[in-house]
Amino acid sequence: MIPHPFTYAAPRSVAEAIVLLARAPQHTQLLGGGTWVVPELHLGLRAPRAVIDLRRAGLGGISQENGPDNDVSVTVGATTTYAELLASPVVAAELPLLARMAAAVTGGAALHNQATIGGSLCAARPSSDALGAVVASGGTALVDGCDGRRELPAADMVRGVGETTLEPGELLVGLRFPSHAGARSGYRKVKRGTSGWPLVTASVLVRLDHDHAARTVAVTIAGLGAVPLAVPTGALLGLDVRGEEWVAAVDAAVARALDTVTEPYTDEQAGGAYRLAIAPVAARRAVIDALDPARAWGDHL
Amino acid sequence: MSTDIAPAPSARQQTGIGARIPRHDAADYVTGRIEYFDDTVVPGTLHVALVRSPHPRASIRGIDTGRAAAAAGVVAVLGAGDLLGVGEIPHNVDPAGIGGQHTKVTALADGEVFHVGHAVAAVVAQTSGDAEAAAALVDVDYEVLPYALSVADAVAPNAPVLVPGWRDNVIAGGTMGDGDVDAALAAADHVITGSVSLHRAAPCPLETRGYLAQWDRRARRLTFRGTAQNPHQLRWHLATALGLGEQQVHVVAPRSGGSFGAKMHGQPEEVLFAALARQLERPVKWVEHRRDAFAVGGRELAAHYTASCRSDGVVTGLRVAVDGNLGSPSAAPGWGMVMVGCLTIPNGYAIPAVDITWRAVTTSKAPWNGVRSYGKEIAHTVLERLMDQVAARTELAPEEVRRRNWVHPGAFPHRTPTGLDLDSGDYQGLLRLVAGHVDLDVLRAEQHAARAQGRLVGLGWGFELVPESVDLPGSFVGGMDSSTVRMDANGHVTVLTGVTSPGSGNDTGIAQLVAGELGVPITDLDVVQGDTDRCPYGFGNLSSRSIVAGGSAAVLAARVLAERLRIVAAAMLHTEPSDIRLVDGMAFGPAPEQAVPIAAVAHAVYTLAFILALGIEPSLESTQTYRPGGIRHLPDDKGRINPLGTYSNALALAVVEIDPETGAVDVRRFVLAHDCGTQVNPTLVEAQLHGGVAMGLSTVLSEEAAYTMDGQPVAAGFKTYLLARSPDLPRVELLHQCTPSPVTLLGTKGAGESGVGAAMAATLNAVNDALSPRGVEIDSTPLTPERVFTALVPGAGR
Repeated sequence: MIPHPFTYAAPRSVAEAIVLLARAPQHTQLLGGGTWVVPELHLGLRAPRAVIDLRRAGLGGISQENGPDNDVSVTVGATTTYAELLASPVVAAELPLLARMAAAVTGGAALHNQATIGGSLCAARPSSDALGAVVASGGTALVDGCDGRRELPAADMVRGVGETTLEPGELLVGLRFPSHAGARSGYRKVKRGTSGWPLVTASVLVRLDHDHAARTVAVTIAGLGAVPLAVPTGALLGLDVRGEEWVAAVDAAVARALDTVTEPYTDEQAGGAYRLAIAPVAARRAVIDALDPARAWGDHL
Repeated sequence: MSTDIAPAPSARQQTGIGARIPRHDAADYVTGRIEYFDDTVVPGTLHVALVRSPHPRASIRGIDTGRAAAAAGVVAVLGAGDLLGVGEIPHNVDPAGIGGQHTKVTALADGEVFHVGHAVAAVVAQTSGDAEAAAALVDVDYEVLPYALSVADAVAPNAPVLVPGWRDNVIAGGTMGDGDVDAALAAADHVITGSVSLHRAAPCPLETRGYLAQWDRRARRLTFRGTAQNPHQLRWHLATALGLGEQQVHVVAPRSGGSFGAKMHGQPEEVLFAALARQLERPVKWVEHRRDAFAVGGRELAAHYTASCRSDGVVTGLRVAVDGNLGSPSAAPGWGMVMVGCLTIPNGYAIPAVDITWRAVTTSKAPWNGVRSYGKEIAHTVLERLMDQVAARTELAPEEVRRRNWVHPGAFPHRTPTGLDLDSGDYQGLLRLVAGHVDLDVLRAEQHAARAQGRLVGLGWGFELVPESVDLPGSFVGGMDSSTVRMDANGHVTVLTGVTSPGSGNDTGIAQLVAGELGVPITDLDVVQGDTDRCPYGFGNLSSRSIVAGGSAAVLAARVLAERLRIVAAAMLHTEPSDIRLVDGMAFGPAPEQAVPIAAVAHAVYTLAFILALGIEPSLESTQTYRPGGIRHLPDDKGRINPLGTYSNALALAVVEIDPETGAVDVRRFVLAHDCGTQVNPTLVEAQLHGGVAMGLSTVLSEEAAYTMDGQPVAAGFKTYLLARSPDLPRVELLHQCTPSPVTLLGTKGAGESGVGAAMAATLNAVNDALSPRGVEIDSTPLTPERVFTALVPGAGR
């Protein structure tokens, strides 16, 4: 039972949503799938005067664009569900890490059909599955509002736990990614149990040269703070991923990055020290998965 | 559609004891056609929201209801002083009965709040939304008082006394046992000490509590629909609190979406909503929020023990101190968990000298109700940890230590040091069953090989003795029960029972027992439960006694009818009653042509009573009460009673692997050999055991109703109270042994709480076995990845 009265609107377009939002942006709650917001409304943790349900605002859909230099990008609408990500051949081909991440989201069909990727980013939870994978995939947040459109790197959309950098009156309309066709991906998470939130996630994208040397490497670790930690991977480039020094170099790069984390996130499910201790494990396993073609999508710790 | 339809298999289904009959209403449950409490809609109903305390302890200086009373849809806002004609809430089992401290429990907090969530005021409104919105507008002026969240804080010399008028914070306590533990310790080859600390968990039924109270002004009668495990006792409870006669209260408990102890009465809301309905003369309804359901606690039990054993592994003495952190005082029966847990010690082992000290301590958390397994899990975990410690000290195999210490199969009946009379059992037989099912040598060789690779693999045993069919003298916790069996003139049978089903399907078991006695198809039979106007007086659902007591009573009543049917059928078929067989809906005589439908016999009883039914009392209705044989309330020469009627038992073997890098525990294999005596319906028994094992594993690994340091409950939903899901659980490999009870009519012992403690103990032992190469030990639950990792890597915790 939601203990506070509020008005509800389900706009049929982004323009209509922006107009509705502009009326009282500080007191309006936007709704994606509602899997985070609705329980918070029930618990009285949010008490908006107005709720705008974006599910009919035309913010779904996955499209592929071919740029002038044969560069391919993919735009994912903000209200795209995990089920839609998983059903999309474009995502399967161009965004392998997102597909892997979506497959690992627990909660069954009910949650896959309900929860949205844009909603997950706007909730800005350290425990999000999506955030780390979106950042590792080089996602750009597409934002619209009464003052016009703007774009920013997905990581910059998060200001703090549960807090975004969106201005009052702005909403997330979609995410644009560069294609990662042919890249190898890995996604791992540590949870307290299947019904828990991810405590730590590790997202990995690796491209190899023909001689098995690492050409590009992206590793993000989420769960330690509001913003996913992007591991600097320069020292890994050119290394033979079959060689013995590869895993040691990955561990070293992750360890250097983790040294910068001073106050790891703590919540009901796990303390910060534990998160910090398991982060390199998740990262190493995700990297190993990415390079092991035998690993199926959806594996997690 | 084809017309070539085979006869429905159910029409000629096997009935009687041992038949694997599917639950008669399973399809209705899984398709949502069952009428649960919240499905009932009564026009004109008012809805209630409760204003709850944000403080763990405070005095109430004043309640300002002005803003709330003026809010939309609000009919009334009431505090404790505004309730008319409501007395003290009677205790389900008053601790004062065994020398503990009585507390006056009120429907709303009266002057002082004892825990976060304690209800202070009720807002009654046209819709539940209006009520919730207005509840936020009630201004309560609190003066915060010192509180205590742990047993240590509550029993400290300078602790605040949490309940006005109490001498200290101990609700009840005492000592139990027999023999000279000091002498045993002095003569021991080894002295072993240890402790076990179980965390607070919740009963967690998927259907939360809810009540709908209606007052009939003309008839001066209350109808109370609600999630109740014990409708007849709730009737007395409501009548007493409201100053009514029992005849003025009608309790209806609809089909249940699980109870696990949460729906035993004594919680303040029951009386509150009945009082509101009478005072406002309107139907009043309330459904418990999930967050408030998690506040109903249990299981927070800690034990410290010292034991003596000989070099041959035989345990000679045991001293245990058990403390329960009960939360704030309540009229619900949670505190009894500590006592029943201690009575269960020494868990089926023939330890001659046992000395138990126990305390149920009040703190500033929310109160307990009972939780499935009802405290026995502390006996199981303590004794099973001890057996593994003895094995380590004597370098014997852990199963061999158990084998040497169990009560021998030839030694029953066996009186335990706490006074329980174990009627029968073959615990060594359970070990043989498991050892015949798994190859222990192979499992240990695999473990050895895994350890050589640095993997953390562990094997753990967990034995449980599960005393059931409780009857506490002087309380309404009763061991007997009653059933009515009635056959109408068309041969249709209605069974009305005093026991209720928490969703377990005991009604199917009772139906098949009656069908077997009467020789009628189970499809010609209805079972009615949970209605105090229709059903005979009974004690509802508790202590795994629905089949033992309610099923046996139904069998006795069915036998009365069967005897009458045989006499009348014999008159119709011109033969002797002893020659009549009742089967498949027919009464057969000895000759092939001697056959008459049972429906025709029934019809004759009603219509030809002065011709064919002269030899019987001309009625096809009987109510019988069954009282199990084992319960003994006369104290023995040492002052001990046996308040429990049956003693199911089970032996679990868990194989776990711990991820050394994350601390995650994977239960790779789980075997449970169990003995609940005669099984009326093995399919239903297996369902109970699967559920019990799942609850035990989920509790020991994951579920936790935690509190913050400032007394706020953490659990608000299923993301802050983590139930195990199917990927977290192993396949349960079940093995059956049957040692019939010599003290119950059918040899049944009860299966409703089995598996919980065995799963907890086996998993705790397996995790410690896995950790043993690292030289660390865990004696506290839950075994979360973080806790296990912190044991492996000291200093890695929060």
